[in-house]
Amino acid sequence: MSRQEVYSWASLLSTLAFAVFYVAFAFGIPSVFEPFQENLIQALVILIFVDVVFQVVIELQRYKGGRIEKDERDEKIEARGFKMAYYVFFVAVVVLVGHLFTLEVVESFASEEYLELMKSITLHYLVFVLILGSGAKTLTQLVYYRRGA
Amino acid sequence: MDGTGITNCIRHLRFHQDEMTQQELADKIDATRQTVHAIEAAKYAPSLELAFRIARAFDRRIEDVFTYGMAAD
Repeated sequence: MSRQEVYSWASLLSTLAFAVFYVAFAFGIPSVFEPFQENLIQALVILIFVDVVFQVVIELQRYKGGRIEKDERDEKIEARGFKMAYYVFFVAVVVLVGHLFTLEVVESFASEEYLELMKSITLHYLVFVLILGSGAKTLTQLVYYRRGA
Repeated sequence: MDGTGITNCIRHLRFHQDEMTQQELADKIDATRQTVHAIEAAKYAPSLELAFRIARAFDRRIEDVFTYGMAAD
């Protein structure tokens, strides 16, 4: 497994940890998991801690050994990842524009509560798009690394 | 990224170069061992520059190392 692949796994782990963290704090922990709430939070904190340590170790290793860390193949795979993330963001922006346009149309006759709800949904939507774009990039990279291409 | 149609005889050349390892070749051409492996397995087509560096590492011409459209070995 190359250093860049390890880095991709670490990045995916960070994205997932952030997603879980965001969902838990924005929407609350589902009632099914409430008895384990304390354990879940501990697990999440440990996960984030391990991820941070992992990434620091990778960065420190970068300055050791003198071997090349990233070559043209890694850059091409990264470019594929960015291309996939671009598609995700493009679709997300189109959906957001449609949403904002609809909001503009209904603004005159919609209730205040509805408009407030729509604003908060827009914020959550943007955070999810960020997570989805980042996840799409790293997943694409991992697929190419696993395929050996 | 598929490297379709480009075959090579890098494994053969490594063997005749005192059984050079993939890592040793990678160090010579400024690439990672995984990239050397992918090129050898014809899963990745290297850039022209990298192909020249590989040929130079074996002191061969590029067409002696890489073949387009037919098996090299």
